[in-house]
Amino acid sequence: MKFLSPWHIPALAASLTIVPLVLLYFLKLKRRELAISSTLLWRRAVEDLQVNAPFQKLRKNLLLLLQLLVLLAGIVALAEPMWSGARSREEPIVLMLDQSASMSVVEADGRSRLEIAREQARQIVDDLSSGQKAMVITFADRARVLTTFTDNKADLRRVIDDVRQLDAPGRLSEAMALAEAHSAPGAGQETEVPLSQYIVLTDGRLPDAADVAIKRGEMEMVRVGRRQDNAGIVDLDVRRFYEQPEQVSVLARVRNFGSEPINRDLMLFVDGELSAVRELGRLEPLGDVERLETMTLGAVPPEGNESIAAFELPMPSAGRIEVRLSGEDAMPTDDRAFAVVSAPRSINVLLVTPGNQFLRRLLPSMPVNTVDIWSPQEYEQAPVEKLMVDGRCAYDVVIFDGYSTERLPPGNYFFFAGVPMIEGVEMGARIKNKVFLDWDNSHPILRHVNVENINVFNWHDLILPREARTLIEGPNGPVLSLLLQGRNQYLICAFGLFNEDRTYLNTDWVLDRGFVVFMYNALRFLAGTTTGNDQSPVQPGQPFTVAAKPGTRTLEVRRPDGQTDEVEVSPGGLATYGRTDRVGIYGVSTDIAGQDERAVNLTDEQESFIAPNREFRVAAGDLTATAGVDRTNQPLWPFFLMLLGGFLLIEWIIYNKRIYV
Amino acid sequence: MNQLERLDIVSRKIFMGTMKGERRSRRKGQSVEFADYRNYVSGDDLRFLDWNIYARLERLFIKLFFEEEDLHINVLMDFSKSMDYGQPNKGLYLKQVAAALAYIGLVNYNRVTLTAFSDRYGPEMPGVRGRNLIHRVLGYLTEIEPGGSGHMTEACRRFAIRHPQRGVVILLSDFLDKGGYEEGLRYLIGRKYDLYAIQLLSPEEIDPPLNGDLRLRDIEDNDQAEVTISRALINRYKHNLNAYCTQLRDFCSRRGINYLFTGTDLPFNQLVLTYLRQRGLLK
Repeated sequence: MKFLSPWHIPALAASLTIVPLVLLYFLKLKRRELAISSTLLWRRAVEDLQVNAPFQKLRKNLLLLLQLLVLLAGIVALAEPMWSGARSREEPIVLMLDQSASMSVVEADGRSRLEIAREQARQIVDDLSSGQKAMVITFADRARVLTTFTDNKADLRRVIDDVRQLDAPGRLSEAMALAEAHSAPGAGQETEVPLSQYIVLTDGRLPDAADVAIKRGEMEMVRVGRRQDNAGIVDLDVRRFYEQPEQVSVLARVRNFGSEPINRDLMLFVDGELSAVRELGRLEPLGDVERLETMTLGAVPPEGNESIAAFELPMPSAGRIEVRLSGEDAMPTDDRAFAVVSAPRSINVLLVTPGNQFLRRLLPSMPVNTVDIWSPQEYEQAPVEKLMVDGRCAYDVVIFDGYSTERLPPGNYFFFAGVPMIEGVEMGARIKNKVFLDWDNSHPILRHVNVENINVFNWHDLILPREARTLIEGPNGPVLSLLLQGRNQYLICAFGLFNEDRTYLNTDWVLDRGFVVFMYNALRFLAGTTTGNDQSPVQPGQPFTVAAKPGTRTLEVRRPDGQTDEVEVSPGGLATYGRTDRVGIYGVSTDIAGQDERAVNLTDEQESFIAPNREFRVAAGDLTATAGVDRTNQPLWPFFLMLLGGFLLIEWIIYNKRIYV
Repeated sequence: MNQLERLDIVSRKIFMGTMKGERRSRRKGQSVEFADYRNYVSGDDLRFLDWNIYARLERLFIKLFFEEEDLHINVLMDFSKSMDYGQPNKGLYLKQVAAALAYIGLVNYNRVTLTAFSDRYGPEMPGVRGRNLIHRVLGYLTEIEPGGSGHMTEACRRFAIRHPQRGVVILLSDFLDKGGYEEGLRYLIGRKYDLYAIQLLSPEEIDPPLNGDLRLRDIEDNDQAEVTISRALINRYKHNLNAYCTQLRDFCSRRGINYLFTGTDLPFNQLVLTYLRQRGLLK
């Protein structure tokens, strides 16, 4: 309870009323004088009562006590007492708790942001009115409904207490979709469903919030946290040199997200042993305190705000790489990054072609170990043991030039003017003299490839499953597509390098150096999943897939926090693990080299930018943002006035009923 | 008046009067009613010699007759300031009762003496006889006004000294005397009066209609009592009043005093014509 009036007003009122009342009471009670015939019997009666009545003194002062209470109630009412209570809500509440990595920041009071958010959520639950329902959703990169709408406060408190910290980045859209799905009226529901109140307990650093539209109800963002000081590893690239596969290159990018300049060192650990240290120098602040709370993270960092450390080290065998940032800051999760480096292994390529001079010459010039060239007949007649090793294709990449087949053991395939003869994939009509309309430059296969310059006379229409990813698109459909099915990976190019008779070139691309770059990218991309030299980075929350030997049903995954999980192996021989909620190295009990460990790193600039967001916005809808649970000042003076009235009434009754002398 | 004239004051004792009257006296005298004989001694009136006995016995006897004398009726009235209280006023009511009793006494040829007292004895109206003197009684009663603090003991003592002649004494008072009533009554008992104690209280004294925080002032001595009126206090007061009256009644009963209690809200004619007759003061 707090008071709105300055303290001197009630103090003045008290001194003007209570003190004189007590003085007057002790001085004399003003009595009405009345003449009677004799005081003889009255005196006796008074004496009798005084002797007989217990606690006479106390009872005598009851009226004084009541009068004092009346005055006190009046004075307190004058002081405008306020009760800081929860805003009265009647609508159903959806509590959305951010459990992303930035919520692990330990604030000045020693509690993490998640702990603060949990406490505020509990407060909201405590303040629920009778019968009011609430549900709890937690979210980081994924959202999870912990409990559907219920008015059972004990259940709500329990699930709130069970919310765990994750190292995953925070994303709001999925949580919002879930919340709205649960709040929306059901099909055929005739009764009007009340609008929900979405209460998001977060630090406000949710990059996708700007895309979220609130369709029904209102959102209240309860901002948690104050700290801003954080520096983190936002990029880690570990790869072997193509020319010297025993050499490993490590590139780490570090940014300062705080408001103060810092000096940090970056340490490199190989298999747990300190290998090298780089001084990063002075990292300039991202902005001042005020600016950090209102800005959004831009693509280009300010001058001196980031530093890139490069390491080169010999690593002839497989190993674990860890880079660690020295010093302490608010969020330790992004101060470490991990990578798993497989043993160096060259790519084995099989070219299945009736004859292609360009590819025959080009492939050996690539950083590949061996290039075998088979005719289609040789391929179809090759014994299984020659084609398969450990349940997979013996070659890292198989290139089919103008040939389609259904003999496709698990592996990586690249088709020119052909398709894998699997369900859902067909070659359609021939398309002539058309140009490419669109292409995906951001895909690694088309990186540094100038698609505009490619001229193709004709190609076949491709009919592909929906999950196929189109890299180049023509007027009628895909021209270059990537299809993942089970353990197989297909890169399908709708055109061949020659015409059907193989008498002249179908494209001039083979004469362009961009084709060399394309082939290099394609081989690297397709072989990447099996060589393990550069595994695709995994962020917390994202699943990773590992291959298992034939006949394996389950794999055991050892998590960084020491727990172990069991995952099932699909019929295709792949196992996917999704509970990557901790940063670190996950060990997998598979005997396939390069598949036994996976590194999970945060490396998310948006998540490392921990300064609470005061400019939290959504795309559309009603949004209010508060710095704590929305508690309003509820005036208490009417209650004190009622109390005053009550005391007056009691005093009047006592006085008039003449109960006491 | 006619109704009063049919009444007479009852004396449970036979007293000697001072003058001849209509009431039989213990004294032997001249009346028609024979009482006794006694031997003649010289100096006796020869007219009362019984000659018939002398003829038979040759001895002289004197015939004795009952003397008929008047009765002394004394009305002792408390006119302290406390009697000037209540509605109907106690003093006025007392005057009415006294006038009625005096009139009854006068009508029956009794010697009526009225004596008022407060903090001092008097004034006193000496004994009068005969109905034609009722105007003196009324004049006397009209002139006296309540005043001063009551001092019953002293008043009774002085009355007993001044009135050795026995008779009926009717004491009219509220008996709310802080000095007590016992000693005063004992003085009167000592004179062997036929004593009636009539206690007059106003309705306000019997059931006080009071409320709130009060400073009660005694109109006799200005004594003050601060009270906060409550139901308990009122009940306690009534209880005490009842006990006080009961104590007075018991005191009177044990000593042969006829005690009568009346509130001034009882209509005066009902008091005299009914109540006092029932209680044996009048017949």
